Amino acid sequence: MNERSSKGLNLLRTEDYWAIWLGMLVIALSVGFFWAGSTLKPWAVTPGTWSDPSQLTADLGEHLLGYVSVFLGFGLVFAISMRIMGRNLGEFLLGYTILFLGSLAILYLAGWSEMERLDLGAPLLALLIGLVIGNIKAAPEWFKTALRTEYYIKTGIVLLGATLPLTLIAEAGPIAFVQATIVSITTWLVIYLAATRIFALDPRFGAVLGTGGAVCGVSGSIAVGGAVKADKDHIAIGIAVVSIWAIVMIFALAFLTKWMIPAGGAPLTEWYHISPGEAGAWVGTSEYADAAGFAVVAELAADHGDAPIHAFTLMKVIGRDIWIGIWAFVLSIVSVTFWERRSQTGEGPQGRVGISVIWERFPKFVLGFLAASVLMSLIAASPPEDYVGRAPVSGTFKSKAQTQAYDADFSGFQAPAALADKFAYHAAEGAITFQGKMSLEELNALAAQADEEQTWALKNLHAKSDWFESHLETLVIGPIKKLRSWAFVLCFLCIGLSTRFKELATFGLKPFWAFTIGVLVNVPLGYVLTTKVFAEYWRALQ
Amino acid sequence: MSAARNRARERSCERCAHLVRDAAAFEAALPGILILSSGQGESRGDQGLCRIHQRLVTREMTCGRFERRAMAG
Repeated sequence: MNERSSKGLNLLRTEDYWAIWLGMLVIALSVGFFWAGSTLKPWAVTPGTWSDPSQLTADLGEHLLGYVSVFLGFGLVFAISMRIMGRNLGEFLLGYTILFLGSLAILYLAGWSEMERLDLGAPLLALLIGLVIGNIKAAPEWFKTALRTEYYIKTGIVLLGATLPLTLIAEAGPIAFVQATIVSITTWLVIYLAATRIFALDPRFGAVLGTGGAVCGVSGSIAVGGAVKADKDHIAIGIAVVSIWAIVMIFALAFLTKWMIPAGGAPLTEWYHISPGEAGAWVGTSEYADAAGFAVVAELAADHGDAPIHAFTLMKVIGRDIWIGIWAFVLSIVSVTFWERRSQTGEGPQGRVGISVIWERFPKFVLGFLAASVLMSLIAASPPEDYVGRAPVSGTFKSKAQTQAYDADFSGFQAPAALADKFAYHAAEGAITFQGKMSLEELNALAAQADEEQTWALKNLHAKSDWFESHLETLVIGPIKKLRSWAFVLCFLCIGLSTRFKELATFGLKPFWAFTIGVLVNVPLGYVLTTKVFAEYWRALQ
Repeated sequence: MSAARNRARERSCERCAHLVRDAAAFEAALPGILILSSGQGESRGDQGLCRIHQRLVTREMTCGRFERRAMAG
């Protein structure tokens, strides 16, 4: 096989690339439906809220076709990709069906009013239920084919790119990079020094543990493990220690940040209060794996919007994950130059990785995430020039903060002269319109001439005049967010089902304590950097 | 590519029979990997497990225990 065809095959051989193809397909479909004058909304659904069983069955009946389409759409691409990646198709399909039905049941359970009272969202429920089932009975081998935590979370992250404006990445990205670099280097050094100086572990073992805690969890341990020729048992222990701490931190950070963020967007009045953006950035510095961190911020997003998810993504994915190749390259040189000379027996594997490892270990799904962000930002920046916002004179004004029904009469309304060519009342259609996007000053000028009912109608028109909010957000980004939720819940359920504490806890205490010392430094350092040093950036993040 | 590099590549872990390359076998050899990662991601890439030395290695590494892997087909 020549090199070119081998490179072509690479684009179909890893979960990173398949996450890109699936994510971009979803985004292309959502944009395509929109440009064709339709929307993906009816086909991209998640369960609503309910308090009695009749509401649940009604919701199920209403959305059944949507669930089938999500199941088949995701299932088709997952199945094709798993087959191409050499997995057993029958095993995957059976396992995926069980996972999907389990995720549907969890989403319905999370929508139950009792769960809202307990403040438990779908991410934590999926994890808890998965952990209980997984620790009572081990998943059979065939089922493990469908437990693709990383594949599902990578797909969710690519979809997330479509909801994260490029401007936000450009503005907060450098801050995330600086903060993540400080935390990563400090955490790595603390774990490495604790492992080698206090507990006298092999330096390469220390490097594997350090990278697991400082960069990108288990994937980081594996990427660096190969570069330094780490012992297989050391990798296995690294995986176990990182996984246990990552799961502990999901619950610790979720409950802590839920308590620290004031409810309903209230001001930060208590000493312990933090904003949703700060919470996301803190989780981004102090969680050890993407999937584990997303479990925390997705849980927070149910009450506090997307700010925690955006901050976490900037910190973890942009700030920490993408540098894994550089860590592998540098540590490979250190290993050959120092560590292997000290422990040289003369007959082990020789050589080090080349500089190409920086690209080879680069998490390629991040390219899909960035491409999705660029694509959606370009579309959002190009509203139709002749766009006219339209609102009914009788209807309901809805915003994140309030919902208000109104019944206005505009027959005698006089718009200010400066806005007369933009504002119009269409009596026959029972609607008011505005040419272009209405500014807040223009809204105030119109509202100065209006009574209370007319003011609500004008507020509605103000919202509808924003093409992004009224069209793109509702008809394109909304369905993508729903499908992202599916990918996330599939992932969180997989984490729970594949975690067997009894099987993980087979390592000695030395590596555990070395990693724990790193945790004890990482968590407060992440808190201080997020809420004291860089607080203004994370508080401003939406 | 120089002749020396070609020779080294001919006897590298990439072509060795003792390397566990298959993603499913890689995952089976490292219990717990599926909780938060995978044997099918870019972070693992072309790395494999050496059955002889029980170490994680990359394709360009070499050792004295090299045995050529039989080519498929």
